[in-house]
Amino acid sequence: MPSSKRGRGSGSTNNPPLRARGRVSAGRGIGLLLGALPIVALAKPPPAFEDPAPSTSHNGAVQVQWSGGRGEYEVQLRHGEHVRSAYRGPMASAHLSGLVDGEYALQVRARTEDGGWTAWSAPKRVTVEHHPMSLVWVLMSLGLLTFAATAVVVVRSSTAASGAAGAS
Amino acid sequence: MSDDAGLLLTPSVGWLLLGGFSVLWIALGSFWGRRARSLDGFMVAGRNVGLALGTATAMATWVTSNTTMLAPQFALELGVWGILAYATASLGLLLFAPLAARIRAVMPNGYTSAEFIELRYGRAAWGVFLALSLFYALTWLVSMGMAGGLLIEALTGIDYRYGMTVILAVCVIYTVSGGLFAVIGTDFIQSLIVLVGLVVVGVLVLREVSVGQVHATLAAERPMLLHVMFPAALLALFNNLLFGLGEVFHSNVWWSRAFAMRPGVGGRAYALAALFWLPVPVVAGFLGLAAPALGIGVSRPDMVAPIVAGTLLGEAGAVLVFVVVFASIASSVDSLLAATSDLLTKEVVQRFMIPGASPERLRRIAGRVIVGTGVLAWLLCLPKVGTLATVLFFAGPMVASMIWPIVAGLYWRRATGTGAVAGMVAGTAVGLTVYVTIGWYAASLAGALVSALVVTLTAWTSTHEFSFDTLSKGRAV
Repeated sequence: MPSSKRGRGSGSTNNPPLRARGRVSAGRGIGLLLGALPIVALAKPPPAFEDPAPSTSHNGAVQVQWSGGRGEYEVQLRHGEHVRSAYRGPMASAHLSGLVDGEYALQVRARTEDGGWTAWSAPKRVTVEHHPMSLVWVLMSLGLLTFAATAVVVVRSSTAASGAAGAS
Repeated sequence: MSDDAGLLLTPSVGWLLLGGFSVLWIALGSFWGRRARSLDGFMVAGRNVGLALGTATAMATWVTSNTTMLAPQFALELGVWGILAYATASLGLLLFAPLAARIRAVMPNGYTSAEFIELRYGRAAWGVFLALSLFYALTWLVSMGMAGGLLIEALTGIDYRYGMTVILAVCVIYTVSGGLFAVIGTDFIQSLIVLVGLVVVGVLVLREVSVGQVHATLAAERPMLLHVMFPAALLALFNNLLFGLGEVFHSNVWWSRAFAMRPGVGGRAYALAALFWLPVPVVAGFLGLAAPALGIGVSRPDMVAPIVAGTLLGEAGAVLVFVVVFASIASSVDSLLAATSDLLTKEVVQRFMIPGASPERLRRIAGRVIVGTGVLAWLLCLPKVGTLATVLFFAGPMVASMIWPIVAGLYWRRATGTGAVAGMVAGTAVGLTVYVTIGWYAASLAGALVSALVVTLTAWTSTHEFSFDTLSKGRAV
């Protein structure tokens, strides 16, 4: 996956959309102070996660949703020093999986009308903490035992029942 | 790339496909269902279904939209273990093969699984079983209605509610007109479409991305999906196996087919269906694993298969996926409508509302019950609650807790009604607790285990011996 730092409009808070700039410059006779106001008003805010509170995943999978309808979005995943783009698509939700134990931060941004990007959203923190293997071994052993017992009872009983039916 | 598979088919193409296949299923259902005039014809297809149709209907019903859409979700969330976990569901059909033969032998004139529970264990067990069974049937039905609506929306942009409504309505129409005859006949065609379609999609995907590329991307971005010691996936292995066993062992969908097949056919038909079904989740699951390697962003895990196929294969791929999933959804929705209608008609309407109803009248009532069940499912599908997995696996502990009451009831003379009730209630309670505290991937396992212990212990300590001859005489005794 490409790094989140590539692409147009990275850090768009510092680079307002061109169309917004044009509208500002078209306002002849308006002072610089007044001209700056529309820039602030027209800059598209970044999407916001619907559940921004920190969460914990025990299976290494994370489902996130954010504000906004169909559009173009990018989700960035940060794990320690490693940052990568984890989703690019039109829907206002993303699913990540296969994550190892650790602390993660997710941020999302949306495509603006002029082809740039909004700023990154506030991060959503996710802790991935897989179940301990001790629990897994216990439950797997019990699962194997339950299945084996079921299979043995079904096979032996049906064989016996068939034999009895044949004899009668 | 992005998950804009919805742009691959226009809504007008979507409506065309939807309309065309709706007409096809209704016409075929009406054609095959013309013999369903009697109650036996409507509910158990005249009890004369042969090996080919029996195998096809069992396989097609077990494919379901859940296999074509949920197996890729398993792969995407739980990796290689997830695919294997889903594939273990074939053992449900395989182990039901001897049960089907036993059911047909001890209840040659039976109609429903609930009827067996009452004759074997009494009224209390019947009540608990019926409640759990109906709840499961509805969750399965709702999960498939949702799958249909989501798929159509993702591929064509047609609103979720419209797609879901059309799929449910089509299945209701042909099931009402032809009962189990129509269901089994359409299942045969639908199973062929699903098998051929999945093979084509699998081959085409492998031409676009190699197994090596898939492995490399997963290792870099989603390493746990390849990890041998992936805790949640290992837990899901036996959980899904036991969930599958519970689904097949208790559900009237499978019992009605056991009653419908000729004597001597059921065992072989279910065993063959298990073998034919086994590769389906493996092929479907690979689509889920391939998504990251293809750079496809996944917005919802249950939509990964159509997104991958549609994005990779363009319009033709999207049409193929549409047809395959529509067939798999229809093959299960119709079965569920028929089986649930049988349960409600025989166990509720005939028992409590119109005890003296003639078979002809019950035949008409069964049709109305199918319509009512379809409407209820439609209402529950509207809010689009949760993903397919969360909807379906909530019922996991319930169905798993019914494995041992069924098995012990069919074979053990000393299995008791008290044990069956306690097993189902305790298994469900503990399983749901595990669902909340650990996760869905351990809930069915807990439910099955607790139920097995309770049923075995009560049978062991019982002195009463049941006579299986009682079952063959039916409710008249």
